[in-house]
Amino acid sequence: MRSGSRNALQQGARGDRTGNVSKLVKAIGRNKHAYLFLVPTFLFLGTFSYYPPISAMIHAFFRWDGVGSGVFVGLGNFRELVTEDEFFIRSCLNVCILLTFNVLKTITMPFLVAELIYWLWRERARYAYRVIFILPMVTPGIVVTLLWKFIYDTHIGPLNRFLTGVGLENLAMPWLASTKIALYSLAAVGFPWAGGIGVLIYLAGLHNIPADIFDAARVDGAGWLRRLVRIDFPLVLSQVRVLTVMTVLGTIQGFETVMIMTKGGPGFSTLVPGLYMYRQAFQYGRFGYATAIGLLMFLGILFFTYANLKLVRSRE
Amino acid sequence: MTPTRKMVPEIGRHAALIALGLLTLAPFIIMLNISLKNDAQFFTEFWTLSRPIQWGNFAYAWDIVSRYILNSVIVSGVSVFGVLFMASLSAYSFARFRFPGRGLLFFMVIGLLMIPGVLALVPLFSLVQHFPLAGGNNILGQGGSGLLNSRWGLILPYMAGGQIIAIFILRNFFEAIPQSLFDAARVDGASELHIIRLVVVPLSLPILITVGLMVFLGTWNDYVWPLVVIRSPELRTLPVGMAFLQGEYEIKYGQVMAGYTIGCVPLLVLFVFTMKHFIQGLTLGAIKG
Amino acid sequence: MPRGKCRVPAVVALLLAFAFLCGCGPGTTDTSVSAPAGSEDTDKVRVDLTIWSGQYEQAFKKVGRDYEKLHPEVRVVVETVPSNFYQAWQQTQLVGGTAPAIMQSHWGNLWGKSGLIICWDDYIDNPNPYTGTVWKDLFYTENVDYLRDEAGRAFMLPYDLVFTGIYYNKTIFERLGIDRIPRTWSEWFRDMDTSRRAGIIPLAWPGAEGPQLEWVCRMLFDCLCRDKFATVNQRRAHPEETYPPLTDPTHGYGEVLDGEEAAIAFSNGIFDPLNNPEFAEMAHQLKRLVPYLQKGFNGADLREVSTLFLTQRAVMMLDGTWNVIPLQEDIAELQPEDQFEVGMFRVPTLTTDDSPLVDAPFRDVGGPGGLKFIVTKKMAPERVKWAVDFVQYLTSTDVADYVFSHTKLIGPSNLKNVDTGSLFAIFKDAPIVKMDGYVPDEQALDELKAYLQPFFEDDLTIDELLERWHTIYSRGTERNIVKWEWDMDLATLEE
Repeated sequence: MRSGSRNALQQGARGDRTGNVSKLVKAIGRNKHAYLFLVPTFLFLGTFSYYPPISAMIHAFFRWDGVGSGVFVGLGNFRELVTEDEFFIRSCLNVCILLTFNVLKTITMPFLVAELIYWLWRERARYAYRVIFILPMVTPGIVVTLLWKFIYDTHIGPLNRFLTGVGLENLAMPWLASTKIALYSLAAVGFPWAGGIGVLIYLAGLHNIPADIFDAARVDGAGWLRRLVRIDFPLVLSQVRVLTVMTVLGTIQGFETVMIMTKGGPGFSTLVPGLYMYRQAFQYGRFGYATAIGLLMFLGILFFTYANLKLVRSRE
Repeated sequence: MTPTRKMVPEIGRHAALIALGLLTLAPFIIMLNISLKNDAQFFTEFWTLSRPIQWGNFAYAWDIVSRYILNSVIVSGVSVFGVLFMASLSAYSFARFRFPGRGLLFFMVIGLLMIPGVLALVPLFSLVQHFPLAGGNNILGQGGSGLLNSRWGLILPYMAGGQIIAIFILRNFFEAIPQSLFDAARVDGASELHIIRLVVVPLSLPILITVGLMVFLGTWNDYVWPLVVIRSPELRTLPVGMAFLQGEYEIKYGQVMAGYTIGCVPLLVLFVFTMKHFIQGLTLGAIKG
Repeated sequence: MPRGKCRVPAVVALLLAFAFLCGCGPGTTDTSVSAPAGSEDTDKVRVDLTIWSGQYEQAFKKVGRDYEKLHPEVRVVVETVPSNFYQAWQQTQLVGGTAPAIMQSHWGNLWGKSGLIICWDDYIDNPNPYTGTVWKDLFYTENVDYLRDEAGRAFMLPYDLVFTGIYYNKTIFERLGIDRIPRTWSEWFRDMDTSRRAGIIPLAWPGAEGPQLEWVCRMLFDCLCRDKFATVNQRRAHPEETYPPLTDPTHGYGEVLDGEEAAIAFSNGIFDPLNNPEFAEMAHQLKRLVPYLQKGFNGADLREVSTLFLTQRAVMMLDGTWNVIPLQEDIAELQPEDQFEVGMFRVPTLTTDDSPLVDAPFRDVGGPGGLKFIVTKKMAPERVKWAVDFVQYLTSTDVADYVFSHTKLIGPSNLKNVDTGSLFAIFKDAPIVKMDGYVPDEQALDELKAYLQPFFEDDLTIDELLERWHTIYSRGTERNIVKWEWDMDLATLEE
């Protein structure tokens, strides 16, 4: 019996459970509007968002071809994935590499562009640039992917055409076709990596910084670079955190882009777990195995998100 | 402050922004350029604007793509309304009420973000097919085809999934609304629903538009789910339709790029109308850590 | 309260109502399975045929209309769907019970194992009402046999055939002074050297997709491992198989190994990459091709290969007969000064000049084409009956003649009496590889390709490759033993 409970309970220091329960019931009753408002949401989420993955995750412990009911194999799928499946392991490495690049992309270029825009003199100019950098977001993702696939094309893609045209033929590599560089070509998609909502989000963060901090920095004689690194960036850490969480989620789960651009090849140099999961389920018919991959992906996402939140603590 | 000395950084900023902006928009400029070419021009005069301009590419692509645009508009549009309605209610609840289980329930919503979508594909399909009392199904969900091959088969799961991020963002925003406004409304005797309609919604219009736009974009771009659910060609959505544009053995780049261009237009139009609110919404800090 | 705000709820309500009505569009009422409501031919049996090979669509539609006149109680619907994600789509449709009656499919054995589609063996011994003969006499049944699953059941009925060969640019060949078709690899490599020196890509190769790698592997396997066959093929005569005895060297159609035989061969060390020099030899011969392929071949798709060939930057490409007509059409669309003449020759064979391990010349890769019919089981028995009847109609000689002469063909027909003319003349009586080498399942094939690609780029040594090849085989064998419940006992092979 702790002394704190005396304050928590209205019923004296005994902390009897009946007192707790009736307080709970009263609290529920008082807030019935709150629960009522949540009903439609949870109805939908329960049906369409909870039930399917739970059903799928149970099947991760089965050998299941998606049609019948499957055969229980315990940890068999996981054992195979972690100890025998070189493709899976490689896909995890690949996604880690992509993740690193994607996070770097997210925390550098959009922030720089936001900085550039923020310090412009005229509001109209700021507005105009904001529009320019958000334009790519307005195009359907599949179009952007297909366009970049075309850009990287070894023979007719603009990149190689350009390089050949200016005499740099040796640099005209098979960007998506070489086991050595395909993954990095994928990572570089979206150059200069400044388009999308990132810029706007960082701008929002910059707007939140009180002007006197900038004045103080200027008085101290800090150059723009120092100010950027020492002051601005730390002050937008909450934006950084949100964007990196979104990046982590998107990268680990994403596979449509890889599927359209390289299908995981050449070799397995661009294979990512999401794509491998899809392939195991819909091409090889190994649904139990595929959902085991999904489960491991889920754990990976949890881990990275936790690490992210721990590492990026905002100082507000 | 001497204007000339400070001009240099300003010019530098503009120069950098213009360069980066051009690079960012380069793929789309290339797309537009190619959409006006035929094959011969594509191979020989790649970088310049070719003449004669092949407007026919657009006619050809439009024939294929227009149907799909309508379907995508309907599916995404209805989904957005559903999401905004339900997510507003829930976000309001999370933001303004203190009730038992608040934290847990909120986490249960947000936690769904981390589940890979592909995991759910086959069970979700099965669920949609055996949806009770739909498409010829009896109350146990047997006998008919449920919500398959219907727009609702797309819309309902989208309405579920879209709410997750919507609730996250809206809750943040609703929490920031000054308590005094609510107190004033309650003193006037307004019910909770009234408060939402008369206080919260008007104040959060930019944020609602922002969220609506995000949900619209998310559902608009989805490829795998519509492919699996929809069978009739007349119900297909745009990304699936774009897949039609690619021949297996050879691609007429002009026509394909014209198709892509047309595919970009609806979102562009939507954006033009909602842009101000969207930017304002984000600037207001829709997304805070 | 500003006036505008009061109108918002009304507008919202209106929009919601409109949206609701749109959401309930025609799609929801158009179910094809039971009790469709509100459609005018509720009493007609619906036989729908879904294909991805769109070139057959028009002919099938016309034939479908003729069929409807013959049988007014039936309604025939022919539909083409995109081929991306087709397998996933087909699976969900079959599992969900909403599949079309007849579909084109490569994966009939997968569905058949789960009882989702009919087995053709139940039907092909019956007379075909439209020709008066036994149905299976209309086909080259070897090709039906080729598709049988591990248990010997036929779930797919091939309508057309395809072969593979090398397309070549006749104009460039003339220009380079190559005046005869290469028949052996030595001759072929000489020609490839000639074109490489002239700055033209000798062979355009799709490394990222397409069956080319698999074909060449099969051909190599066929000619390097032919002598093993007698040891491996333990199966006694199966009544459904109709090809001549294995010992007949004059006959083109080859031997069939079933999966269990091949798996046993592997576990006995006969098909083991670590145990036999033939596998290293295959890898070596494949790698010889690499210098003659275009830059970035590992990531090239079929479109790139076509483009290179059409723009005359590559002089040869390995592809199937389905490209004969499309190529001609594409060339016709080029500017007159860019047009060229295309020819096709059968893939040259390895000889003992290339390797002492060669046992016999390899045979072409060919067999059932893209259009294989499957019929869904999960539907009303009446619909099954009509679906089968319609397929019988489609395969009857006159109808098939019509279809094959009004379609952009991908190859000859699998129906004996249908003549497709000069188009595919070089493949008449072509020997066809039936011994596929050992490919446990699709995952194993993909894995093998995934290791060959880095091998081609020198990212993997030959020993590493062979080790992984062995692993692929053993894991694939494991999967198959579990999946098909083999007992790996030679004695029980003739169930």
